[in-house]
Amino acid sequence: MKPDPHASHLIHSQELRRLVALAQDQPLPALRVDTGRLHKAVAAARQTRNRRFMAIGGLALAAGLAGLALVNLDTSGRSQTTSPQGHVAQDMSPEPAAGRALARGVHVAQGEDTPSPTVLGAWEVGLAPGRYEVVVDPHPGPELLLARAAGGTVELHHGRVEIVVAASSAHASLREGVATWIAPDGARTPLTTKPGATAANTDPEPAAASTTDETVRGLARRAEALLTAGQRDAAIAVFTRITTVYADEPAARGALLDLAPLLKAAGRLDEARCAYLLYLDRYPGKAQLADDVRKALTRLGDGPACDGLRPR
Amino acid sequence: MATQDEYADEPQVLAAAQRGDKTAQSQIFTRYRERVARQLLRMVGDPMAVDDLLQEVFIAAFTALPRFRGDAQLATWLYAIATNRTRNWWDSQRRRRRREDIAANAPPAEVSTPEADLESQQQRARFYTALGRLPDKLREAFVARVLEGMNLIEASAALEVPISTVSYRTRRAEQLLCATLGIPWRDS
Repeated sequence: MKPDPHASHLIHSQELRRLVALAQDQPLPALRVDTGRLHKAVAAARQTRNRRFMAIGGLALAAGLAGLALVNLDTSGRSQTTSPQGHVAQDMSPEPAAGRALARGVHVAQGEDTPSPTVLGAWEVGLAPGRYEVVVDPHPGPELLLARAAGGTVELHHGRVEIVVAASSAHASLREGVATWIAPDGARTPLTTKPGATAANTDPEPAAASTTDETVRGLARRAEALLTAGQRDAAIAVFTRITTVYADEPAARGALLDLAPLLKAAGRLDEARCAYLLYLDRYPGKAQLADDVRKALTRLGDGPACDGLRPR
Repeated sequence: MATQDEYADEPQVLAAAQRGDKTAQSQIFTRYRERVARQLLRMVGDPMAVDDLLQEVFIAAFTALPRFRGDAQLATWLYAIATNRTRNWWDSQRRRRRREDIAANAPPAEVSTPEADLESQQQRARFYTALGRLPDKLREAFVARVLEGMNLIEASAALEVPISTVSYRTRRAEQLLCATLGIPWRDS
């Protein structure tokens, strides 16, 4: 790949640009590796690997035999645990059914005259009509809390959500963190914090640049971890937050480019189209990727107009 | 640089190479040798290390070739292998430097070659010393985006991380590089 002259625009320092150019222009030395030498090296590497596998296999076999001998010794003293076939009966029964409890770091508080939430699992609660505050502490894993209520479900990765549940509907307000509203038909809407919400309940956005940077960095890391864990929807929620709440941060551009294909892969084609259109709208000067984005838009075809990330 | 037509038979060559056909493997090596060598040179900055690393990359590639499913382009896959190999190289370099620092604290010997531009050589050495002090992930993003000139999408595929991560790491790497080199991050 030939170094792209546009890449120098990434660098703000002239001195660093000069050093980068020197590194790029370094002449390639004469290469001594040829195919003959390479094939010999590959064959030697294979032999070494095979020997290693054989050694490991031998060790495993020895360990297995030793284990079998121990089992025989053990069963000789406790014949009641041996099955009719002579195999040792293993206790494969599940863990004793403990009372269901929420995972550590998950807290659900109900308002006055509101029934307690029903714990459906470590990461799942059912909410009856009333007022609730749901908090999930930041955690490195991909787990998502599902708070199920009449009219929809809140999926919360971390943060705090206030949920008001009525007989056949519910309203969720994200105070901080990353969450998604899932309608009964499966439609997903990322929740965003509303600056206009009650001041007492609204956490201020980080003001200092360094704090903001740390937050964006943390979100980017979390999104990466979620993607690695195969948690696409949760990653979408995090990228959506980066692109909406931290729209002026440099990382928002990359997040938008990550978000669009993820939305497409999730079958949310109109939202994917909106993400690409938002990219072109926000970053008109970034010609290097604009062609790729336009091609992606063409592949998605036509659709409704967009209001930011949302199709109208 | 090869044109697209020259690589038109790549699927067939690749399939044969995956079956262990040495001629096909040789073709792949010949096609990508210089490109990978150049990438390696930009990653480590040390011409003396390129040959050994090049051999390591292709040994790893041919050993793993039967498992290559074609999710990425062959060039991208090779780049990822090269990135991993150079990570090991930087680790050993750091260990070696630590030993040297403790033993002698002596500056590295200069290679005297008549045609070498000593000033450029010293500047490059200074740059790569600073680059080697970066955390692996930041260095890899910087090399892919700035030295290799990959766009965000290409770098994201080669490094197997989200685009936003590449973007963030590149910027952070630039800041740290400037700090290590003692130069201002933004020109006034």
